[in-house]
Amino acid sequence: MYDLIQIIQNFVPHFMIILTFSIVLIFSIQPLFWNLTNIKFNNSNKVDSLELRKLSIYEQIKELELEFDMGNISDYDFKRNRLELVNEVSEIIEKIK
Amino acid sequence: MNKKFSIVIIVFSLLLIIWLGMGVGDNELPYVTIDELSEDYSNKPGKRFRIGGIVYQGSVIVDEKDPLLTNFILEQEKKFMKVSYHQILPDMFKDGSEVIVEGIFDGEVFFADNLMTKCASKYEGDLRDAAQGSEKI
Amino acid sequence: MPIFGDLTLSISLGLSLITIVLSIIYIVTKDKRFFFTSERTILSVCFLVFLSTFSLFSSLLNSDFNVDYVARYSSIETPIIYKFTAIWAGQSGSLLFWLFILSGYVALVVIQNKNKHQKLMPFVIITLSSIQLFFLILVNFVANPFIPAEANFVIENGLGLNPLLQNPTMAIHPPILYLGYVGFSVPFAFAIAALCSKELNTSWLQTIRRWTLFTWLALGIGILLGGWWAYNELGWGGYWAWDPVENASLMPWLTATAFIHSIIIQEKKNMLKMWNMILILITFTLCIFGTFLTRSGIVSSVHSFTASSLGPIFLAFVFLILFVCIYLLITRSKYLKSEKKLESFASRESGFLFNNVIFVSICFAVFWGTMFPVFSEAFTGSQITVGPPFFNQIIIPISLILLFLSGIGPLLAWRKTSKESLVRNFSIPSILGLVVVLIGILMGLIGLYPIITTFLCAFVFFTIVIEFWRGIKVRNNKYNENIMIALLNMINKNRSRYGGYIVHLGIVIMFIGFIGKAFDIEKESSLRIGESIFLSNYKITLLNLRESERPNHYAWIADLEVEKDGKIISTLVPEKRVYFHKNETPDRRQPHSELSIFSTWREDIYSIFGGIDTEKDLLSIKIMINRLVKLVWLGGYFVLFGTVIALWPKKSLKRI
Repeated sequence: MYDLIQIIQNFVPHFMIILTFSIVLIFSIQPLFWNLTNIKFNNSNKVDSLELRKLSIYEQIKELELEFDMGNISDYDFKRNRLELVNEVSEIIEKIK
Repeated sequence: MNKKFSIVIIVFSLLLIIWLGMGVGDNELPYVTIDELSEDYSNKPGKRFRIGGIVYQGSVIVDEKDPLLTNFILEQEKKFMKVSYHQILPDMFKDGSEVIVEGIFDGEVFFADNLMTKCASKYEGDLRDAAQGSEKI
Repeated sequence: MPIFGDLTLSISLGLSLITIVLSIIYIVTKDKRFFFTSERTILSVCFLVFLSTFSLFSSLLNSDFNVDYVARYSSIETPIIYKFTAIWAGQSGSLLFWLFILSGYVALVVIQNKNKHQKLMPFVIITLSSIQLFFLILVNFVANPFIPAEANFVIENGLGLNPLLQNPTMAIHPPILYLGYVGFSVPFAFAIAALCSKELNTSWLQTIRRWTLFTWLALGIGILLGGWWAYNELGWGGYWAWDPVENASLMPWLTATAFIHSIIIQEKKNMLKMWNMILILITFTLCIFGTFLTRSGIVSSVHSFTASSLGPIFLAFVFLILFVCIYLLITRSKYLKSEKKLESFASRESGFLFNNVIFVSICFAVFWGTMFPVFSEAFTGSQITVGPPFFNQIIIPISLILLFLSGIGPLLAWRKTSKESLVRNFSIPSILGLVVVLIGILMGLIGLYPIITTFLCAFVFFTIVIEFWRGIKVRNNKYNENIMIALLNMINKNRSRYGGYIVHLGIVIMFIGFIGKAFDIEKESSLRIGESIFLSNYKITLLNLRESERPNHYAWIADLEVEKDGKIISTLVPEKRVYFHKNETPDRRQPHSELSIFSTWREDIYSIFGGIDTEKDLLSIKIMINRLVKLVWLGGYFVLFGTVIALWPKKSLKRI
């Protein structure tokens, strides 16, 4: 009886190690057996990047207005830059559509 | 406009290289052996050198009157050189330790103004110290 | 447990190879299952590396001296916190710790970008996996932290951790520095992925913007903490010595700083694509190169690891990275062309560009100075070093240009600034700067560099203050908010902008601290009890010399009294300690000077116990008066605070 307990006790750490590695293994290879037909991906990379560009320009317009209000840039610079940005963003909106 | 920028950047890089060259010329500190030192010093008296070696066992003498003045002998492969150092010694400085000194040479004594002991974090002792003699079964 | 740790490392090595293979299969076959599996395997590698690190920690905790590493870097008496820090105290442990942090980052990246960046992610995974693989090869075959102790005798107690490292700062300095070093793997991986997949629009940059900022912050704080530790522990009275190891961490920080500035241009103007690519690739390469410098012993340094076989391996890795980067850059160069051109020298774009040129120049100068002994030996046969004077001479003027640029940057408009607005924006800060310099000169400021630096600091300071003031006034007029609320709202609405200004303010404060360096004074002397040293307007008297035996060391203690203009303001107690004082071989005893510092905003009084002549009761001591050092640390807090503001997540981008 004592021997049996001893053997089990000795085995426990090994068992834990084997268990850990088995779980890791199962976790890893599981996706290989997935059926992917009903999983969808969003493949809108192009639109995404345009969307980001659009947001970035909106931010820039906001910042430009702030700087103009602060008096950091002249009237001429402000109008020219703003026009440029607005043109660019309208082009991008065209492309997204 | 981009062309103008390239020109400015190229000019700047050239200036940087010249600037670096000047910096090296003003501050170079050749790492020499004792042999090279005795040849070199006469060419350029007052030039600073850097030299490495081992503090010769038993050669460290702290001056009687001025405890900040230390004289010792630097050994480098059976070549010897007197070194004089007038500053507080680093913690790891002792007989037999490996040091690097920087300073000027007058043909006989090397006057060091900087003394470095090698590697404070080279703290890898011998494991035998930790063992208390008993053999592993 | 050590066997378990060892085993996990071997298995992770295999798994990370498998990850690379799976990703390649996915790229070739486009079968998504392989991609999902590669995500799983790379996460498993991370998990196993965690387990392995924990098992090293548990060996250290249990003082399992059968493991060589445990016996070398800890002992039964080592406090738990320093058993934890012992994980990265030695060569092999610190490599495992590198891997541990890398795995943490990798797991975060993979989980965060699940179902995002379809085209980039496989390449990101390959790159990160390759870096992991490199470190796994090292810890498996070259420096394994789990190898058993060789000794054929029972080790009853370990050697213990180096007392110099038994310091709270030293407990956090390496992990933070590593967070910085290792963190650049992620932007690097995205850059490589963008190059490989030819998805070179700006979206990869936006994904890594905050990563880069965080990593940049960690590296900067790590460097600063290293300086703080050197100043408070090492006892040569300074925080920066242009030591190769310090330079190794400074170089990637410089290129990373250039990068976080120049990505702003790419985000806003779609310019400098190639340049940004080069910067981030160089930054990561410099991180690996820095690790190579500290571990190869190629340039002698105060605090590098012992020279080891790791040097050539790291160098080979550096060349491999360089080769891959250059190949990719050349083959993808046509996708990296900018559509837009610079219009004027007086534009924000060109300000950023010059800022970049200067950062890279400083980096090159540091590189040149650090590697000069190696180059000179290779070309002339004799090793020539250039010490700190070289770096100071070269880098101070260049960094002053940089300081100037950080002042004019905000004054420049995008694309082109008209003359009138330049004059208007420049005049007030310049005049205020000159006023400050005049006051400074009246108070005793002398020297070319200190005067120029003071002017520039004041100039930059006032431009930033004016920026804040104008912003507040706008909100005040527009929304009728009071000053405090306007300030908070303004920062909140433009976090990266005002966070950036606060960082600049921190840098200005640091530069003021650097000016103080020009006015430091020091004196070495030997004293008997009752004698005094006079330095500046201080009188320092030796009151007493004591001895004391403490649990792990023996100490001589000097009691010094500090008087300023006749008033006692403080006492200093520098010590000379001997660790392992009971060891029979005198060589194993380790002396250490414990400093004592009295610190005020104006100056620090810094005392170093030089030595003691016990026969004559004569103390040799060094006293330094270091000016404005506290400002350097204060500047660090500002940098931290500003970066945190810039990093704080935005609620939503969509609200305009």
